[in-house]
Amino acid sequence: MNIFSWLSDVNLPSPVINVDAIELSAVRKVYVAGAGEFEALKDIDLRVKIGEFVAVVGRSGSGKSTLINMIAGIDRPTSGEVWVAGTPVHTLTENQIAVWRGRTVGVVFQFFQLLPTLTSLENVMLPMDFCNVYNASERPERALALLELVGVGGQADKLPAGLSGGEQQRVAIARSLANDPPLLVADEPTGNLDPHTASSVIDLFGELARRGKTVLMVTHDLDLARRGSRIVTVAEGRIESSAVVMEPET
Amino acid sequence: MKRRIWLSPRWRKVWMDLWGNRLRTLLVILSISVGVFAVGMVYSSYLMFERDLARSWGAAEPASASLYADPFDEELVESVRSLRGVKEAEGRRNVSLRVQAADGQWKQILIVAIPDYIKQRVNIVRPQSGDWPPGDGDVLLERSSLKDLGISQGDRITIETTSGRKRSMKVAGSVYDPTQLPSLFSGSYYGYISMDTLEKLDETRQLDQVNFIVQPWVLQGKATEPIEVLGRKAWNKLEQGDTTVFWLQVYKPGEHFMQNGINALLMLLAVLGVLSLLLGSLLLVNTISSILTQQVRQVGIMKTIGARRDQILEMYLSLVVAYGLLALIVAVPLGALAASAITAFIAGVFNFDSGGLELPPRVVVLEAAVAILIPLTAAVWPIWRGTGITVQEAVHDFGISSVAARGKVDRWVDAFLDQFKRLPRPVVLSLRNTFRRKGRLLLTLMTLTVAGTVFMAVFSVRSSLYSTLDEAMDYFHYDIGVAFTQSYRASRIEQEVMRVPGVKAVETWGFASGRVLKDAQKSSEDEASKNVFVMAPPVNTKMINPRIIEGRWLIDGDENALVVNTDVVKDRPELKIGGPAVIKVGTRRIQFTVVGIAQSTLTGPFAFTPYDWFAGAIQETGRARSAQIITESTKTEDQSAVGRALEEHLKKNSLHVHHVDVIWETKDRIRAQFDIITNFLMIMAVLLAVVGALGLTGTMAINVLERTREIGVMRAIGASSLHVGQVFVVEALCIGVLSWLTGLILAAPVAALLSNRVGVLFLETPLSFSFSFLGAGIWLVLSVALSVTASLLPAWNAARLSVRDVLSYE
Repeated sequence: MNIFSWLSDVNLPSPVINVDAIELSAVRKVYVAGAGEFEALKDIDLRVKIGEFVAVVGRSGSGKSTLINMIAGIDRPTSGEVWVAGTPVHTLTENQIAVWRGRTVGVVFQFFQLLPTLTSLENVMLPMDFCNVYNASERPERALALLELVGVGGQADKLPAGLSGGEQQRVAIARSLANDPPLLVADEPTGNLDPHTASSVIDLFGELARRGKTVLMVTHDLDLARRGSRIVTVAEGRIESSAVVMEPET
Repeated sequence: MKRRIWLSPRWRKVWMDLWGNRLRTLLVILSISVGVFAVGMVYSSYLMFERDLARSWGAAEPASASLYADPFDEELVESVRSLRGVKEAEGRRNVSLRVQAADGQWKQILIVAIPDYIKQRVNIVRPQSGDWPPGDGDVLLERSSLKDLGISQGDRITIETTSGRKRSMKVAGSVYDPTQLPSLFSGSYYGYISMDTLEKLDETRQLDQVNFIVQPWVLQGKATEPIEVLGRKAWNKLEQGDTTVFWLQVYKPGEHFMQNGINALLMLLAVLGVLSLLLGSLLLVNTISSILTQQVRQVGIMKTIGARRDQILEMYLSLVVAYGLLALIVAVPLGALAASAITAFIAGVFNFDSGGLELPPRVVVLEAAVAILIPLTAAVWPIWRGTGITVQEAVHDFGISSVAARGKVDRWVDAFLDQFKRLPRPVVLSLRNTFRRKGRLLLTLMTLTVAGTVFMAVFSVRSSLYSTLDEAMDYFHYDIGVAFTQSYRASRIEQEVMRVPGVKAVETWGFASGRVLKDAQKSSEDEASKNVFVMAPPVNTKMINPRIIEGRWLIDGDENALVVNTDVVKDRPELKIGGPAVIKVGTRRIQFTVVGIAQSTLTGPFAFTPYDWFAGAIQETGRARSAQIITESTKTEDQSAVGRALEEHLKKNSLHVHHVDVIWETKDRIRAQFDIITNFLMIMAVLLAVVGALGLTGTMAINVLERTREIGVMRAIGASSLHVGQVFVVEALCIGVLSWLTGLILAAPVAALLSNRVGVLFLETPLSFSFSFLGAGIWLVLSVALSVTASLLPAWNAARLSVRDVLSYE
């Protein structure tokens, strides 16, 4: 019996099936700061199909991070609709979003954001624990399999402080895959990595996209962006261009 | 490879927060423990104390009232026992004599003769060791006297009789007399003998005290009036038997005869308990909220990967409960031990048996509630708020919070700082820091202010006690007082006293004891007051300096003028300046006019009247019953020696001395009684200082830890360790001084209130208030020293880290 059950009202609406992975229509985001209003996103429309590897590029302050925060449910639109995997994210409560995100979106941060007191394996198991997916007895094996998938199976019992930046980011990617979400969202995942490691992380995303995950990545590195299947360029809160990369590198 | 995980990752995280950061866990447990310990200690001692008092006191069959009279025969007791409403009555003989202690000093000893030790029914004296009952020529000493006199069982002691002869007696054993005023308060030791032994001490085989217990149906709750009515009937019975009764002492039913002092101690204990609870709670709110501040980012991460608010709440509340449980394990046994030490101390002071260590379930329940409920309550709001912030806010919290000037206070502080353009940048930074985090500042200030207020108030109560004492003691301008058992010609007393070497001056007074009646009617004798001592000094006496608080002192030409002290007025509030007063002395009813009211001297109810007139009124013109003496030496040991010489000389010359008071000894004794309360107050102050110190240390340490990144940034832009240290020390100084100031402002009224209560409970009169600047000074030094040490250590640690380490600090 959970004494906080009154707090866990998380009946999610059933997702609409057979739709695009991401569908944004007329999304606006206005921040109210001390100096007045600032319009971070202006009337954004965007559709992403299942299995696409989208790179969002743009200058600092262009609104690219705000855009993917809308999609990951980390931030809310001022107006407009955000549909992700058939769920109207803009209608969910903060608690519903947490549960929905735990199952639907894997988030990867620039600064890795692993819990410092847990081992790699435990960090990967944590989302399964919170969202109560998979049998408790299956979780360690599944987490280890994910760590092996991203190439850090040997670091399973180490604490984040004992890992290099690249290894930490791999663990973070493994964690984002823990609940087998259809969508991966990454904000500057390579920003803190050396070029060689960055390249291998992008390879990993490409591989995941080929396996059917939809991947959305913010970067300011055009070379890396070109290795995705599509480049969305954001400038001053608008989508300036959305171009399919003809020959994605492998 | 098959992996077994015993704890799910989220519980593993809770475990790691506890175990992984042992220093922090220790600090938190320490803060909680201090509060729990204090509450447990206070509540346990209260319960143990109540239990022991009831056991010791109840088993003694304490008298409802006692009558003191001139010696009478045993048969008279029967007339009191036969009164309707009297359940039991028993007679005793008390003789105040001198005994030589192991160190050669002569001390006062009250020798009590009990007709039948085996069949005692009132104020029961119980055997402790050795012979029982006392054999012919032997004496049994009260257990506390045995220790204080430095005498062992089987030794012989020398006792000087009223006629000045020395008698050697064997100490055949020890007894426990719970109804006797402890030596500390009476200044007298206690010995118990058989009736036959009385004659060996040159005393008649007679009684002079009757103790009686009333029937339960006589009592009306705790009222003393029904007992007084019976007491006066007994008084009349004794006087019909041709003896002079001079004192009726009525006890409040069911209360220890020193209940006032006990109540004062209990009240102080209760105040201590409530305050430590308050302090402990503030400390907890402080500690818990800072820990949670450090966890904001982790909360954000967990929310990102799908944790619901209730799951996070559950994790952190469990962490808090774990802290509470650990603190409970530490605090419960320590609290019980401290409580038994306190109870043993009080038991020693009031001479009752301490029943030893006990841990009543209600104490543990209260401690558990304090250890767990308060931290939980303290934690709910910060956790709720912490789990409510958006993922974006949480993840982008880089450990340096925004400190933009927002409110009025901020602008006011900035404007204030602008006034000091010359201040170095780091100082401005730290002053600004102090005021930016207003919530935290408020909590820290509150904790320190409460500790400081009470610390300073306690010191003021102590100094008020001492100034009350000094004022009261200023009454005595003579060095030695001698009281005689009967009146002698004044010229004879003066002549004999002046023969003793070392005596500088002597003054003889009339002296009598009596009761203040409501009016001169015969019927009003049933409503007489308690005993009053009537002193009849010459009107222009220089031997005393009574503090007149209303009306005037006696002047030449006064006839039946009377000055009463506040102790008399308390008992007879209808006495007014210019109004009449009727005092029954012996069988005479004497009419007075009240001309003045004097401050109590803490030595009992006194009334003063001119010698010439009073001596005539009781037909003892030219005679006196007491002598006030000034010695040539001001040294205490010389005065004691003169007192001793006086006693020997007067006895040898057939002047029957009732007692000799060496005034500095009396003052010392009263001071010792005050010390019980003041020592207690000091323990309180120290405890509170410890709680406050821990609070400040914890808050400052956590505060600095929280700002490790800020330190890193400062170092990255070129701040030396000195600069970094300066920022935090100035901030700490600012908090220390601010809390001292607010504490100082609050301390005055709190101290006044507490002094009043302690006075009313302990002395039945408010203390004359005196604010302790010493206490204020000590607290200023303490709070500043504590603030600086508490913040400097973690800041220094942080300053030693490399910039890279600091910036990646979690």
